Amino acid sequence: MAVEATKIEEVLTGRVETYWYLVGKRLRKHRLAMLSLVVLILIILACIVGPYISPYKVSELGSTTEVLQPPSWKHPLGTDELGRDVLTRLFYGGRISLLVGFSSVVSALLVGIIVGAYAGYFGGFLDTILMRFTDIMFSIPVMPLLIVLSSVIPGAGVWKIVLVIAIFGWMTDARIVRGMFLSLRENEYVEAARAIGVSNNRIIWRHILPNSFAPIIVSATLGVGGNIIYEAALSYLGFGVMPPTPSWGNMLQNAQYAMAIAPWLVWSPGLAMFITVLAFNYLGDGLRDAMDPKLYR
Amino acid sequence: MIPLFLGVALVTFAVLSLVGDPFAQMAINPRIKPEDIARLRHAWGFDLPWYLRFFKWFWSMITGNWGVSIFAGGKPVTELVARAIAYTLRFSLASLILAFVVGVPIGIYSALHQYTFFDYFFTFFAFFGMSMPTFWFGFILMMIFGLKLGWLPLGGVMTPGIETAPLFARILDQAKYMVLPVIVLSLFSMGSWMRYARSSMLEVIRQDYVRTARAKGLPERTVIFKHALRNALIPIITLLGLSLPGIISGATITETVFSIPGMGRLTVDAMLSNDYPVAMVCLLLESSLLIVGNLIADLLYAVVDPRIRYS
Repeated sequence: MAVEATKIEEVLTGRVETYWYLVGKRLRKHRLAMLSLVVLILIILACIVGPYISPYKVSELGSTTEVLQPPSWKHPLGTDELGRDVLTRLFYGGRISLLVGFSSVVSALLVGIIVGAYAGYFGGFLDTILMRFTDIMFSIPVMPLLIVLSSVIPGAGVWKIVLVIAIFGWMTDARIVRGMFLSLRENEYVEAARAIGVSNNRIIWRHILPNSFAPIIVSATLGVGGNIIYEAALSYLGFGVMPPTPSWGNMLQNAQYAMAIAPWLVWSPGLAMFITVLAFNYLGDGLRDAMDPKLYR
Repeated sequence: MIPLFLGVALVTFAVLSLVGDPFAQMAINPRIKPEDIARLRHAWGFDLPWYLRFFKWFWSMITGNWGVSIFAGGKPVTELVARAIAYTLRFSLASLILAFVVGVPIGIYSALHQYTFFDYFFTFFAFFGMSMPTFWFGFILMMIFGLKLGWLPLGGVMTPGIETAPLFARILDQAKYMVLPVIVLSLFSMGSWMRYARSSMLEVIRQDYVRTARAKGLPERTVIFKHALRNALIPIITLLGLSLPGIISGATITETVFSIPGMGRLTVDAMLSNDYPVAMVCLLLESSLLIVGNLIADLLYAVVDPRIRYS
């Protein structure tokens, strides 16, 4: 019945229901995922616009009377141990945290897709070598090596953190992509493409890859949240984004010692991070439900 | 498995080599003679080419000759690691048991009552746990239970001076120090146990044999516990194998937040202070546990599910 109804709709509106159209339609029905999307857009907008509206500069030190002030009209989220406005720093910190989250996921995906695609498509010896290497990377305890790499690689930049997180983040993507390629390469359209002489690279990037986007997008969405936490953990330990550049993680670095006298320093960065990660997780879950053809039709 | 082990050893060795020569800093000190530094480097084998150093170290690692720490007063590595593992085990075992015993039954119950308030509530709880930055959650608990209410200590493993107290008082004291870290450690894994148990049970109760069991008039209890549950637990049991390495390797972040001298802290501290012998033992121990944990998961899978056969 349902199928017939959509077919009729297709004919009446003249619009073909593509896979991605259906995914969007299902996602819009997932209330928590939509709410998460709205929350995320609001957070991102706040981090972009916030610094322009705020009357304070990000590293502007307050006078001695303004050190460790509790929330007030003048400073809605209070001030830190150097008299800096916490709300302003929260906006800037959000820019950094989101930037690290997104770009580390994108770089890890790039590596993961290349490794997984070639391993899955060509199989054989190349597959064995690449997947053994993936297994090795998987068997290394991540947190200690993250810490050591970020203390060894010179520089205090944000991009160093992105690189370090990406080095240990591509393996799951590689396995997912390899799995997709292993099953998709047996399809008729791949055989057809090969028969008319399309090159291997073109088959990989133009024919198979677009068909394996669904699990990649889900993993990427969940990955952004996870990497925001990784960055925060590294920064908390003192090996992440270096002050005075604020990130949600390094704003919490000193908060532990001030928690008895200034609990507001603990609440705001953590809550911002928690809500953001929660929203990414719900959105990822909603996307997984919307993209999984087994659950619908 | 053995090539995997060798590969892991080689990669960890390479990363540690990036940290550099532990005796390099001594050259700055004018009171240490260059000859002495050269002698030290020779004694520790740092004048050898890297591949010789790797095999020398790898061989002593396998033969159980783990050596002594360069710093930390030249204590044997075995002693340092054993002490750290003892602390880590206490926290990680308690949190694994707590997370499993609470998470799995709730997940199963959620699956049997899908789309009820209970299900929605604990689905939210699971997402809550999985999205919570552990160290921040630690701060919050410390602020509430340590500072505001004053019920529990903020960090550490025991009250200084308690060593001479009677046994029971000592146990009670150390248990107090365990409450907050164990809650923090178990929150994340509890959420994932719930999700795994729920989805695994949901998959099973849609199977034909469950319908058959119901159709032949078996009481619902028998259907759920005898037919569905046993099969739903298969993937969950294999996951236990995968959580084995975490029991030993500890959690660097939580250990830092609560100042616990466990494996996570020992590993990171040794790596950052160039204490090669300790750092390498820690890393290799942790990665071999990961490999063994995966193997156990695979084997368990075959044991509990007779449909799976490894040739």
